[in-house]
Amino acid sequence: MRLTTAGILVILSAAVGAWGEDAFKYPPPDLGPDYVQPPAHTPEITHEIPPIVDIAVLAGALCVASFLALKLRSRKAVWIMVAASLIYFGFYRQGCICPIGAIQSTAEATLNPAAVISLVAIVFFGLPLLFTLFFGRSFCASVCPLGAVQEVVLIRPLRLPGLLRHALGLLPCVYLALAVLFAATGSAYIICRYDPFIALFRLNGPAGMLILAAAFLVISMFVGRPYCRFLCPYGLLLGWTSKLSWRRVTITPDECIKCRLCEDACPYGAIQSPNTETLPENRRKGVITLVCMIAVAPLIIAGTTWLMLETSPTLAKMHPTVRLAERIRREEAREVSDTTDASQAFRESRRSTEDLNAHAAEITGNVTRGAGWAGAFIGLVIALRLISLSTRRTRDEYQADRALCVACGRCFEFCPVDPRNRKPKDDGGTA
Amino acid sequence: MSNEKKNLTRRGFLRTTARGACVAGLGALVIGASRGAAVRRSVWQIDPSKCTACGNCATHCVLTESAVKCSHQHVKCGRCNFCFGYYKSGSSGAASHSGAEFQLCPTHALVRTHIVEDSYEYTIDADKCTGCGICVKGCKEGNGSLFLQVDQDRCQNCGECTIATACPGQAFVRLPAENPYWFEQGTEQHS
Amino acid sequence: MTASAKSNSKYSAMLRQAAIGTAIVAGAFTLFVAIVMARTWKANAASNPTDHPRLEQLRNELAADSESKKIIAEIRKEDLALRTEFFRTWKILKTGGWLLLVGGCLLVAAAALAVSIGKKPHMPAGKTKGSDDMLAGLLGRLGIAAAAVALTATALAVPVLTKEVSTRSEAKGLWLGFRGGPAASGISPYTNVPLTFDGIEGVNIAWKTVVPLKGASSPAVWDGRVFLTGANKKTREVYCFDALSGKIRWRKSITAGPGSTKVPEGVMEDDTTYAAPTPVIDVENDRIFVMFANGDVACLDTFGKIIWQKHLGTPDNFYGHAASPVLWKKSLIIQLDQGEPDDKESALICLNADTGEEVWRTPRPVGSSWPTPIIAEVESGDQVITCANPYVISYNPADGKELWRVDCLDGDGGPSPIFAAGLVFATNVSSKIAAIRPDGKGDVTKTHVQWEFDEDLPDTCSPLSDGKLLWMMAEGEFSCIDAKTGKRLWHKDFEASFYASPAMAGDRIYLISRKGKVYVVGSGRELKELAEADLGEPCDTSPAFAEGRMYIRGKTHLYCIEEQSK
Repeated sequence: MRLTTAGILVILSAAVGAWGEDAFKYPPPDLGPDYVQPPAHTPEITHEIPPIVDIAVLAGALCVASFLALKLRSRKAVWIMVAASLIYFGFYRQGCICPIGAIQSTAEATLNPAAVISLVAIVFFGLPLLFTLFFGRSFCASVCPLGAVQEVVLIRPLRLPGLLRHALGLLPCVYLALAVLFAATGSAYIICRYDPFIALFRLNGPAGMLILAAAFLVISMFVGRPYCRFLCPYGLLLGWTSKLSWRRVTITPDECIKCRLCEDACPYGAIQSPNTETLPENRRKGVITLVCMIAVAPLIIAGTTWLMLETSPTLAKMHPTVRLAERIRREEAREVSDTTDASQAFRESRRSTEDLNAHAAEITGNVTRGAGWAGAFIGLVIALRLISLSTRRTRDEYQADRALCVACGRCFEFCPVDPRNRKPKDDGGTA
Repeated sequence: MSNEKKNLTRRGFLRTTARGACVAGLGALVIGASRGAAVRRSVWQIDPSKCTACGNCATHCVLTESAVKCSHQHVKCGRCNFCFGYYKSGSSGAASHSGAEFQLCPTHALVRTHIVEDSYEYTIDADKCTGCGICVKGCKEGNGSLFLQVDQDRCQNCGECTIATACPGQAFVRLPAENPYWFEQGTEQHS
Repeated sequence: MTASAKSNSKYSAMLRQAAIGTAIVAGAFTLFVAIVMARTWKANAASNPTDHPRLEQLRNELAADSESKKIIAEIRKEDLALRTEFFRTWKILKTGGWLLLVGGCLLVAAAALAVSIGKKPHMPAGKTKGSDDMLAGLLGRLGIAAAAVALTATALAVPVLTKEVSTRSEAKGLWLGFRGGPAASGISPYTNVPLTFDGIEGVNIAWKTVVPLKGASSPAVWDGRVFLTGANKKTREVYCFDALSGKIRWRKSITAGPGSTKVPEGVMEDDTTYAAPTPVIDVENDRIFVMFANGDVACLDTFGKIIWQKHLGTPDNFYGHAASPVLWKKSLIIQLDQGEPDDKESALICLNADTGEEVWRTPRPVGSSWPTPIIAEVESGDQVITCANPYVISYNPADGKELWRVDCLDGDGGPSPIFAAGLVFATNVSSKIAAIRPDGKGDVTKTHVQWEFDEDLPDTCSPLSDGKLLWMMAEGEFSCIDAKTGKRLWHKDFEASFYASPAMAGDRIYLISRKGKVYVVGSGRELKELAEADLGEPCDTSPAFAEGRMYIRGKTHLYCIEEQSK
């Protein structure tokens, strides 16, 4: 590589000399026959892992995680896997590339044909979803580094009231809609920009990101998986696919004896109690509520669509070109008296204002259309959730909520049906 | 009891169908998204023609030591005694004014060595360079052979580069990993 | 318990203690490292040689005394010290994160161990938790509803909070024509205009300059320049004053065409004067428009070069033409009312602002009038509102077509209309003040008048409204009316004669009497007399406000009133 570079340089130096002195303001002088030009500074990419390795490791980790959650059913094994994922995916790979961020790459690749996205990103998006469709949400507990961090620092989980959990549970939906909107229009990768734990994995970063990481760590010590449950856009997708999974995590390896020992085992509120003993109070009331929720669904969808369309001019400002066009317009209308680095750079580049405005208008148009769809999506999720909260399904045993269970394995230790949990701890008989 | 069982199998059937549809949908999405995808990753790089040497490269990188370094295209360099990227303009360049008082580079990463007669060679010590771009700005008065580039052995290749977000000239582009450096037309590499 | 069980639990307790102890030590260590890292960060930022203030200062000193060996040595020393410190702290920052990580891991591991030891298993008691689906469903729906409301509020608030000044008419503080600009509201947002001043004693007077020729036009201000017109029978001039010093930067004489020399009849030289229309400033294109009583209209750039000029014919107006032109996009709109209604000479004329070519001309069913037309930014579209005996007529500024009219004026009209609180307010001393809804079509006298009031009406002063209250100045009698209902809240007789329209800066209203005495009142629902001031010479013109300064044209001088700090 060096030899070729030097060779090219020698030839080109001669070519430069042949161009004549008009090519450069200060033409390079004749430096004598012994002169060797220093090589160009082009350091190789040192820490690039071949894509096939990345994909293989992810697939392997997903297999192990599913095995631990469904077959081996051991909390200790899951804990070791969590630690291993944290070290490898978290600190070694520094949390990038990750399936959460891959949502953006996939969205951009699908909706913006001009964007060039790496194949690994798209596979990282699809592979955990594929595994979840068959084996449940084991990605979250044992593979995802962000989940691993939150899992590891959780010391004293507080139980959050249901109202709060459902209210905050709406945020991942909004986050997903906005992330896809901004990624597809080329405005920003907000999942990366506001990733709370990335500063921890890099052991570095701007002050704001470090403070954010510290804050999330402290919160995660007392609230179980705040990012996973109330922010993660990928978690939303995993929850939906997990509902359709072929195999699911069960608390008991055999039949549930309803001993109630696992009731408080889950720090994430994913354990559902049996409800065969409580009679439905008023079936009529339930049916009316359900009918109301169905009736109000189109209104909600219309409302959120309208709201997002109203907000779309502000959302368009996320794109630097739109901001630049607005800044140039304000400067030319004398609404502001000074210039910014960006507006000066634009003027120095001698690009035409018409082109800039046309480009900005095109982007704003894309954002508006996308915002409409995003609004409809959010409305649909709200409507469906309200409907599902008005339906009642009979449960006759303690089970892990398909969508919420992240397969952390804590509940396994509480079930007396599992023979491993019945071994006496000390050599005495009864306590 | 048999009702429940019926319900369970009906639900199970629905679930299996939905799962199949999801798998198919996921497959279609992945294939559709991969139409233009590159097998090897793409990396961040600076287009020198858009760079305004604003100084953000030194301050916005997520790393303590920015991954952006100054690069020298020696083919274009005039080897001047009074280098516009080395010396502050307006100084006489006299021997008495050749120290820190008239050097542009704040960390002395730009090294000046004598070649022959009135010609000097300027190289960059990458470990000292902060990527502030002061020399790049100065060199624009000369031949413009100094320019900022992202060092691929330092860059973390974040999904969203914080410097790219803050670049006033929108000079950050994604280049394929096979060819990650940008030299101007007529010399090495790029188109 | 058996002996081994006892020792086991003792062992557990010891382990727990050890774990807690380790956690505390690890926590302290982590905290210590974090503080050191934070301080190193600060030190690194402070010692960054790029644009370092101390080095800059020394370099400036060297520039002044370029051969000083002392300064050179000082710079080299400082530079070396900074670089050494910079690279030292750099190294620490690059590697210190690992120490933090180690400490953090120890802390977490120890804490987890401490918590897990001696954890008692959950003993179920009471009702089965989580089996009440109805309640859970209800709480869930409430939660989602609450979240949806919160998100809606955020989505609606964000555009408002991030809104920047987007249209020129919202650009605060520009005073680009009569009573401020196309809307002619008379309101300025500046709150730092002096409360009191004295033109004779020189209190809060930044400067006063003699205006060479008389005129009734008000000042228009932009970009450090104040524009005025003055004229006599023979000459018409445009003046540009420097806003900071008061010096005349340039003066230009206007004679638009061969008909310009004809002296219009009936002009009251000391009253209406030959230069009554106020200049109009076009900020986007750096030019001003002026008009005179003889029918001359001219467009000049802000350096005094004439771009175009046009003579519209000598107006047949028995007090003298006084209405100022008004600018709307690329159109200069002039209300040229003349003679008697039957003469059919009056028209609303639109000139192309770039060339002076006539774009459209709409005849008006009125005689001579003196109010200035305004541009009302009504929701359904911009309208030009004109007042003349007996009609208030609204036109579409794009093509001059009449939109609506209301028959509510009588006698010689002086006050110009205003648009506030979604209503057009028009008044005139012989009839009433009417609040008109501007969304009608055709003759809407019977249908679109929201309210009327007919006491103490102004003869020359235009009304003032902030959208909530409306004020008007009759011959000394100053009234405050609720803008929405038309109910008068209070009135006071200032026992003086006023030509200048009331003008508001911030929350103060300035009333300038013909003698030059100025009364300042508050803009609240109750009358609050704040201060009095004295211009020191007679004044017939409305003031202009810009950037904390007030410009008043007296009979002789142009005054610049500004807070003069002692």
